[in-house]
Order: sequence, then structure tokens, then C-alpha cells
Amino acid sequence: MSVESSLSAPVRRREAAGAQPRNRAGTRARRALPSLLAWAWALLSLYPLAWLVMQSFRSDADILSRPWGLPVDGRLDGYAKAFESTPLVQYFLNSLVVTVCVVLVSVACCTGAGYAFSKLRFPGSNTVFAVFIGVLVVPAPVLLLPVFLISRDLGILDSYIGLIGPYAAGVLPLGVFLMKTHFDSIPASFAEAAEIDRATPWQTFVMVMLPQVRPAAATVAVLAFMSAWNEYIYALVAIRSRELFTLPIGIADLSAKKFVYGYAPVFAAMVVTIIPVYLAFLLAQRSFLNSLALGGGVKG
Amino acid sequence: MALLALFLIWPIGVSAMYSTTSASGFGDMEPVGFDNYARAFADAELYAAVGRNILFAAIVVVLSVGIGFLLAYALYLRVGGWRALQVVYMVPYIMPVVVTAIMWQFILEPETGLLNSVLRAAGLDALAGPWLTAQSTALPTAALIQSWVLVPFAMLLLFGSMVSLPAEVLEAASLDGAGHLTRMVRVVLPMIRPTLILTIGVIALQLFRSFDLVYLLTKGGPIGSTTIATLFVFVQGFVNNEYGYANAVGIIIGLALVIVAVTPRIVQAVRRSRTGKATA
Repeated sequence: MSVESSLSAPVRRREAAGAQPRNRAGTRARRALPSLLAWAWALLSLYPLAWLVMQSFRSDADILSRPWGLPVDGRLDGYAKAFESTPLVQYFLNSLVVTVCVVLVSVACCTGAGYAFSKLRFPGSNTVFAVFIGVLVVPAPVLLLPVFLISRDLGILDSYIGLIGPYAAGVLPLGVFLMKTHFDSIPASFAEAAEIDRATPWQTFVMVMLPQVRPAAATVAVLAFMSAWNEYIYALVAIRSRELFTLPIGIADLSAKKFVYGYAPVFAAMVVTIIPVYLAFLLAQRSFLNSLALGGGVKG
Repeated sequence: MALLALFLIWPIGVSAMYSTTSASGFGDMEPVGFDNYARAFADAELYAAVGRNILFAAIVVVLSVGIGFLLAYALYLRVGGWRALQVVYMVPYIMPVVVTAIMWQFILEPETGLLNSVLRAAGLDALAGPWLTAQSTALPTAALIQSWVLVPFAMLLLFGSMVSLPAEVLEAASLDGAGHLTRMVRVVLPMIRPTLILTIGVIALQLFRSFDLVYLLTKGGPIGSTTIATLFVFVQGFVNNEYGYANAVGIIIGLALVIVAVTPRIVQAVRRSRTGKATA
């Protein structure tokens, strides 16, 4: 807050001299460049996705000879072949089971832990929280190897649990941080009022606190969904049996065999993979964008 | 909590233990003391990988934070359709990394790829090249794709901090006749500095933690030209089966990151306590 007062003064003095006569029409002209830039980047973000979807409706010959052309006849061959040549439905179900479990586990854990760190004071709570956040810094491969070795010793490699556990744990640091900041923003008077009304601590938590953090919980859910649905490296090393493949390793496998099955099935399988994750984002986009932007604001 | 302990904290201990052995995943595990660490510090390949990682991270941080800032500012100015734009921008960030990688491989394919076809059609044959498969261009190309993915993330954080700026300051600057550029560079930029630093830090750390995009794009090749530090650990561990050595390198990188991440805080704390004493 002190930044703004110390800043605006010199800026004002310097600029006050020159530029009084500026008309209204200037405002629109001055926005032209930012608009251009903003829409150009939107095109750059969206075009590859649109291209991907278009390719999935074309034949291999078209994909190779005229990569930028529109679909001529909207073929579904790619999809037919993708479902026929690989157990795509099985992959999809595997991904779905793992992802749904990860979302449930991490939302429950993050809400509980976030509440504990925010509202309950217990000995060493700050230290434990610091360790939590510190884990965010540890490089992925440092965890990848030992998690793999531990899972091997526990005998949960090559199983749903072997993916769900590490994925859910991976969401915790950021998730707990998000939930804690949201619980922090609930004024103490809410809990006090509940106490006066003779609510038990559990009732306070469920009936007073939970409804207030719903947007944050939605954000954690989307984060968990994205990380579990999109994860590739760990699934690659932990899953051996084809019938347990998740979509990412499934399509990487399909792509490696594009000279056998052709190009169109790869595009079709990719479209099938991205639909759920974009759906999940669209459903929760408002609270997702707000919570993460709020994170920037709070820390900034 | 138990979950965290089991899959995040316990592994670090296990990793430390393995790092002092010659484990290779075939049961021949001998304690070798600090040999793995000595080997790491003498490994020229590791130094090269760290150097590539720094170059890679530098390109990505500059591009993603730079473009992210400009886009956030454009949204902050409420350019037409800014709400829709905010959602559209997230597309690359949400795309599964496997899809991103395979898609860009198709786009950048030397003979039949989208980019080279367009370049040739435009008569720019000289520019068309084997982007991801030439030693000289593979790393910068991978960095460009990584930036494409991370721009939205930077944009979102920076936009969040701009929205929370007090409007009066900008109005005042605008009344005083400060133009776009002046307001952006002299007013907004200094005010969001803490978030800017945070964003740079988070993205830089991210680039020393994960390697999945680069791995999927190039498998570290051609001839190791895109083997960044984290990918090096992965290759040592899962391709060469040198669990012990990989764990040692991983721990060195981890410690280095913690030191880099924590040092500024300590310096700041020390400085603060000094000035605190000075004023008191």
C-alpha cells in the first residue's frame, strides 16, 4: 500500500507538464494495439486445438498432403479405427476411475487439512505447514524414483491404488495452501456466532465453514482432475499391464505405432482424451479463475 | 496427512538411503558411501544437463512472464471480449501434456508438418527446418512450446494482482496525461512487483522440477541436446537402472533448489531485522 503513494506523486509531477489536451477518441485508438495483441494470442492458443480436432475427421492422405486444409467430408474413420485398434474404452475407464478417486480423496484431505491449519492451533502447526509447502520445491524425479521403489515394496505397482495414492498426495501441497487461505478469509465472528448457538465443533465445520469454501474446493477439484487425468511419466513407469493403461500412456503408445494404424486414429484418440478435462474446466472455470487469480492477489 | 507422509516425505528418506548404495534394481545393492555424490560432481554430462536446464528455464521464464504480463495488462484494460479471452487463454495450460507433445510433433514434422508446409507455401523454404530433430534448434523449440503452455499461468497470476490494484492510482496517472506505456511501465509494473517475482520464481522452479513435455517431445535427443537436468535423473534411474546414482543426483538438484529458493528469504529477513534495529 505504501508503494502506491510513494509512486504516484513523482509520476504525476513529471507528466503534469505536457499532456493536457487529449480527446476521448484517443481512448479507443489507444486500445487498438492491446486488443490486437490479445486476440492474436487467443488465435495462437485456440488454433492448434481447432486444427487437432479438424485432423481427427480427415483421412491419412489428406493429413499428409494438405495439413492446413479443412476437412473435406468429415470422415469418422479415425474414430472407428482408434476404438477398433486399441482398447480405448478400457483406457478411458481406467483414467476415469483413477481421476474420480483422486478428486474425492484430495478434496476431502485438502479441506480437512486446510481447516486444521487455518482455524485450529496445535503445537507445531506452523512447522508442519512449512514442511507441507516446502515439498512443493522438491523436483519430480527425486520423488519419482523413491515413490516407485516404495510402491514396489508395498506391492501396489501396476494397480489403481498405486496411481491414486501418489497423485492425490501430489495435489496436497498446493491444495492445502489454497484451502487454508480461503479458511483464513472467513472472519472469526462466524465461528463465535455458531458457538453461541451451541453448535458442536463438527457442526460448525460442516454447516458454517464448508459452504463458504465451496469455490476453493471446486478449484482443488479441478486441479486434482487436471493433474490426475493428464499425468504421464509416473503412469508410464508404474503401470505395466495394458488393461490398466490410462489414456495418456495409451495414446503415447498409439502415436508410437502411427505407421501401423495410421495418423487419423491418433488424432481421434487425442480428441477423446481432451474432452473430459476441458469439460471439467468449463464447469468450474469461474471459481477456478477467481481462486487462482486471488492467489496472485493475496500473495502480491 | 498420512498420505502426504507416505508418498511425499518418506520418499525423500528412502531416496537419501538409496543414494549411498549401488542399487540397480536387480538386488545387487551394496553400500558405497558417498561414491555416488563424488561421481556426480565429476560428471561432465551432468554439468552440461544443468547448463541446458538453465538456458531452457531462462527462455521459458522470459517469454511466458513477458507475454503473460502483456496479456494480463490487455485484459486489465478490458479489451473487447476480455471475459471470453480469459477462458480461451487457458486452453494450452489445461491440455494434457501428452496431447500437447504429440500435437506439436505433428505440427513441426519436417516434411509433412503444418508449419513447414505453410512456410513452403509462402515461399519461405529457407525457414522450414527439422525443428525438433536438429541438434541446434531442438532445445529452443521445446522452450517455445513450454512457454506456449505456461503463458496462461503467468497471465492468470499477474492479472489477479492487477485487478486488486486501487483504481484511483491509475485514474490519477491517466488524468495527468500519462500514456499507455507510461502507465504500464511506471505505475502498474512497480505495483505488482511482488507477484511478478513470485510468478518468475514459481515458473523457474517448475522448470527444474518437471521434464515430461521435453521427454515426450524429444526423449532428450537428438544426441542429448535436450537432456535437461531432471530428464538426466530420469534416464539414469529408469533407462540405465542406476537407482543409486540417480537418487544421488536427484538429491543434489533438490538441495540446490531449496537453497536457491530459500536464500532470498533469508537475505530479506536479515535485512529487515537490521533496518528494524536501525530505526529502533
